[in-house]
Amino acid sequence: MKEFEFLRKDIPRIDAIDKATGSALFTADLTFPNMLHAKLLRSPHPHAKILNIDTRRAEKLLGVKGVITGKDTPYVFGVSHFDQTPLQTEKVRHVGDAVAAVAAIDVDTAEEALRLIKVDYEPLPAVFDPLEAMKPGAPIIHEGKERNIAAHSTYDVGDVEEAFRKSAYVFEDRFVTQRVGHVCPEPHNCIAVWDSSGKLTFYYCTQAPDLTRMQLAKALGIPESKIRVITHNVGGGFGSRATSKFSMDFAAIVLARKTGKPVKIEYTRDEEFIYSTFRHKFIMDIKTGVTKDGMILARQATTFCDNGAYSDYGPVCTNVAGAMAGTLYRFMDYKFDGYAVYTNLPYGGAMRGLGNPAITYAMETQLSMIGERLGIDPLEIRLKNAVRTGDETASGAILRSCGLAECLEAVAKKIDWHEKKANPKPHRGVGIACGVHFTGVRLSPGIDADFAGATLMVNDDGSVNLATSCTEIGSGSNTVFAQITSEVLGIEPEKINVVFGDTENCPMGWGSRASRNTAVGGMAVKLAAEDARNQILNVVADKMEIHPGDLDIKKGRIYVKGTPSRAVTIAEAVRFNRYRKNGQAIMAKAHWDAPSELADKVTGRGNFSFAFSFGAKAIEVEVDPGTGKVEIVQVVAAQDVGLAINPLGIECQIEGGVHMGLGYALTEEIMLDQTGRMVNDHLVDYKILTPLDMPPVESIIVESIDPIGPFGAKGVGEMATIGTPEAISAAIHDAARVWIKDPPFTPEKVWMALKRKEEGSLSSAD
Amino acid sequence: MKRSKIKIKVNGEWHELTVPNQKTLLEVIRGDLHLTGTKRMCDAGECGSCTVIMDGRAVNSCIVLAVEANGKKITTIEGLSQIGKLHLIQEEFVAKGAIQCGFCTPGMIMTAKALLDQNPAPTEHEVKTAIAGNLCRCTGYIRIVNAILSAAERLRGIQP
Amino acid sequence: MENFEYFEPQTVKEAVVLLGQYKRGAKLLAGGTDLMVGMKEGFVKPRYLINLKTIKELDKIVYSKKEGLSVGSLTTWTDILSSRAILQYYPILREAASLIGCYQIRNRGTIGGNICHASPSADSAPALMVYGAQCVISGSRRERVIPIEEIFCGVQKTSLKPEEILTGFRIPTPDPKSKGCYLKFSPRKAMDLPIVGVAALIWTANGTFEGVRIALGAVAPTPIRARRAEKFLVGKPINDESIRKAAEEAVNESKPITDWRASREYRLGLVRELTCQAITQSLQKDIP
Repeated sequence: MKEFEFLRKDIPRIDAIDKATGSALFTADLTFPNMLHAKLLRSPHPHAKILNIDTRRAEKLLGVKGVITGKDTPYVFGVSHFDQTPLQTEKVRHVGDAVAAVAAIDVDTAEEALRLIKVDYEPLPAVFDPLEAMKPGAPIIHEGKERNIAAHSTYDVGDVEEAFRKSAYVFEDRFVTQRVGHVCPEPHNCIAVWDSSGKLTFYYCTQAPDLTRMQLAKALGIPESKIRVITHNVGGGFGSRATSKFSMDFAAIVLARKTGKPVKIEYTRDEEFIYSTFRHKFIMDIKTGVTKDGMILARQATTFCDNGAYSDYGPVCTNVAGAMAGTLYRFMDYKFDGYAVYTNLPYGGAMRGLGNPAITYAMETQLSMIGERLGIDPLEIRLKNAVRTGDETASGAILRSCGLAECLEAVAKKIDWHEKKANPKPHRGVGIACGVHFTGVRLSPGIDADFAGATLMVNDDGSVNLATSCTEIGSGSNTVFAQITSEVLGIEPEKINVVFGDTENCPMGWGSRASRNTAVGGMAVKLAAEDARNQILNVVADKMEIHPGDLDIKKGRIYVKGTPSRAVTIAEAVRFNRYRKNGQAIMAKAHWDAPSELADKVTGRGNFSFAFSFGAKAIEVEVDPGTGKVEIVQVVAAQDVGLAINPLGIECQIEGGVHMGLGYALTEEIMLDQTGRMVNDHLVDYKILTPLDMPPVESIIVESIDPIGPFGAKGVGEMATIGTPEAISAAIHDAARVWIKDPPFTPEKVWMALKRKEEGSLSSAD
Repeated sequence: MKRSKIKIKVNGEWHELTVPNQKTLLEVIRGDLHLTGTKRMCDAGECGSCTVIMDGRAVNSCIVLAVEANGKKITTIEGLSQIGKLHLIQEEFVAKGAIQCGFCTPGMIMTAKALLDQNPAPTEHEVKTAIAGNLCRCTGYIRIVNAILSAAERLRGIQP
Repeated sequence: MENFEYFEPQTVKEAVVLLGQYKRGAKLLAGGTDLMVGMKEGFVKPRYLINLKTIKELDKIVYSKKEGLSVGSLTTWTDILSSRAILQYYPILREAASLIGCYQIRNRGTIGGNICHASPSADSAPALMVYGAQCVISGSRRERVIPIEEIFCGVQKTSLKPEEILTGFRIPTPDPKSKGCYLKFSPRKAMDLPIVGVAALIWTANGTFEGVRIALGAVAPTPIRARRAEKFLVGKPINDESIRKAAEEAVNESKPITDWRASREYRLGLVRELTCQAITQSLQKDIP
């Protein structure tokens, strides 16, 4: 195994000290002189015509500096489908849809002003379920969108009908997964500042400053050069700040332009739950054909994504579901129909894994059920079907590195799978599940891009300024970039200053989304560092009048191979190079577009990501039959990351992903009333696990050394969220002999299932 | 009279302020005193990110009125370290991988400080109980608990 | 939050006078853990806020074998958890206190504030009920003392008159043979109100139940004593059948609702399960 100086090292986060002292700034911490505070007026109706808006009384309130309505925000935006305007003029489409905004000297005044705005609505019939919304006669939410279908995504590979005919068994099951929220610690917030030349600086807690700029420029109809987006530390992203745009963003921008003052708008926690998007509810019909001994011959999946009132990431999440459903196992006959359907509800968006956690939950739970129906061990049935290095999958993915089988075997071994299956303890059970996710991706329809950039400058003292297109949203990307730079340049990570989050000072890129930081962002960093290294070697070789190939760099010194005493420091080389006639600086750049492809328009196939991360989870549970409570005894998670640049960082991401997965499985659900208002919009009612609820988690890193990724590395963050609920549903069945098909597996659901089972067996005994 | 004069000692320094009665201690800390290390995540006392130590106790400053804090001694995250020198708890958080996005971190560290001031040798369960009201979305808490236990050992003079 | 006038009375009498003056426009501020949230949400809009924490004598814990326990209403949960008397003689109260909210909430939340907020799910109520706690109330007239059951009259409604203040609790010394526990069922292990809460205090003699007190939280508009279950169990032999039947009685006395948190059917199932467990666990405890 190759030895690295700075890779495979548990280097502490380079930004941790600032965060530990409270000096790390977040957008929420920023204030400006004369700054105003804005609030949005939201519709109380799920679907209604706007007849009239009267803002006169609000405008007169002392302390109010600006009031705007839809006529002030004639902009159209969206993620892949452009169906949103910031403030509605014609009609509102969900409870909470924004119709006006106020900027005032403080939040209390702005809120008081909202109460003075009079809006006359004419309620319209509304629809709250995607299947109902697709029926003839359902209210149409967006004109021209028949059956309320925002998007329809398809895969048609091989011949599923023929394969089903050949199958010994064909199983069809429906699964419904619930809405869950990102629960980003930092509530959504932004500050818009216009200068007198008509240039906008937009401070925003975004995961992707360049994409924010692009979207704003497009929507506002102004050049990108007139917009600067700045982000500081981001208090959690998880996809909610990937590229979704919100009414609040435009409200701040327009009010700032109108009042001539900086305008800040900040979500309250209840707004943050429901109006910063969330993971969609998915209804999924999975049809799988298998041989007698559990080989999957074909799969057909039909999914309905409850998009909510605006498409946002719904179509992309649906694309992702279709892509990932055809990437985990070796069958080649595959059909997928995914519908993103409008409903009169708040809209979902991208959340860690997009449509993948939901579809994998459905497929993996069904596979566990199939194993049970056929009498085949769940581990065995997975190993039998698992994809391998070199495979080209039904979805068109090319797996240049694949550690899936290793992940499955590792978790099974660690949890003592065979022993626990052979000798089960009362009320205890084990479940296993696996998954795959991409590293950067080309799944946004029509957008042929998957890139990151890096620029690098070596300073006089031998330290480095590294600017990246990625954003540090807490996943540790800055530290990984420092390590990569260190490895190439032979400089310690402490000497690498990583700069991010300013569209004017940082290269352009797709930001921190789709698990691309380590590998796509990292590749750009590596290339830039290698460019800098070559420059340095050439400078020194020139001075020493030798060939650059005779030099090497270690610990900040460039030395002649074989004669290490003949050396200069990087600092000396840089200074020498700069302070002389016709001096030069050591400056490097790189832009790397990952070698992935857009989908074929007919089959849907394509190698949509340059590398795929695999993972498996084995979970042991104990079910209390008296209350239905599911206690997690232990979680074992294995993940194929290609190469572990920072093993500590990877384990941290896995643990955080498991925390999110456990919430998805057991306690988290956005509960809406019959009009789409969230009823549990408090952190005591929307239940993420507390420290006392978190079980022990064992993380195992598998390295498949990707041939393309930087030093072999692939993505980490989203795969960590996949697999937990499906391992638990299987474990619950193992413990209590009931299948709970739809998460969350609340105590009541389990208890009811046990009760019905008991009643059923009692009645069948009559 | 809807405004009150208060005197609060924050991080060793006395401040005299006149505040509207409904202003919270969190708003004074972040707004009037510009100490933005203490965060606002929920503003309802349900997440712990606004935790400060007031007269020796960890409290959610978003549900303490500034007027209630009159005459009291308050420590925020900024009061824990001096420039260039971290408190042991902060060192352990950094070293043990207990920090990801960093937003819950100040509140988490202040709760840990309050715990260790009161109970220098907590068990793992006692640590989890003390931080149970500090929600984190990034870490899964495992490294945070390890960091606090490690800091406790170091504070007691035990080499880990 | 809307603004208000703020007062810091130094004595109970001063506070009572203020309440008499401002009546329903006034609210009493104890730990603030419930009130502040209500004020921020706009559910409560006091024009006058009276801080009780500035009154010195309201946070004392005094125990004597003869008089029992006296707890001031402004005693925080942290103080209750630090009390040796409560640890030794009123362990059910301690158990309930340890399960309330979280560390920060327990540092501020008070026993009086918790009872006066009168949530049907209040963790402290079943424990206080099985100990036969009494509420000490000061008003413009003479101080009055009522059993704790009588302070609750509906969801978040107490029987206190507008100018009255709950100043503390008196809890008699429990029977030396008695043992008990508080069981709380909630989705998480912190920060949650119970879906169902059950407190039990039992003493036995010669293989039968001699004294039984069972109180339930979150199964009716107020916390309740399961008196039929108690009556049933007294004199019965200590065995699974008696316990099961007593739990059925408790189920019959419960009137839980169905809401987004849980269904009525499930809550009744929990009453059955937790009542059995509470009685069983109480029997297994060592006599303090």
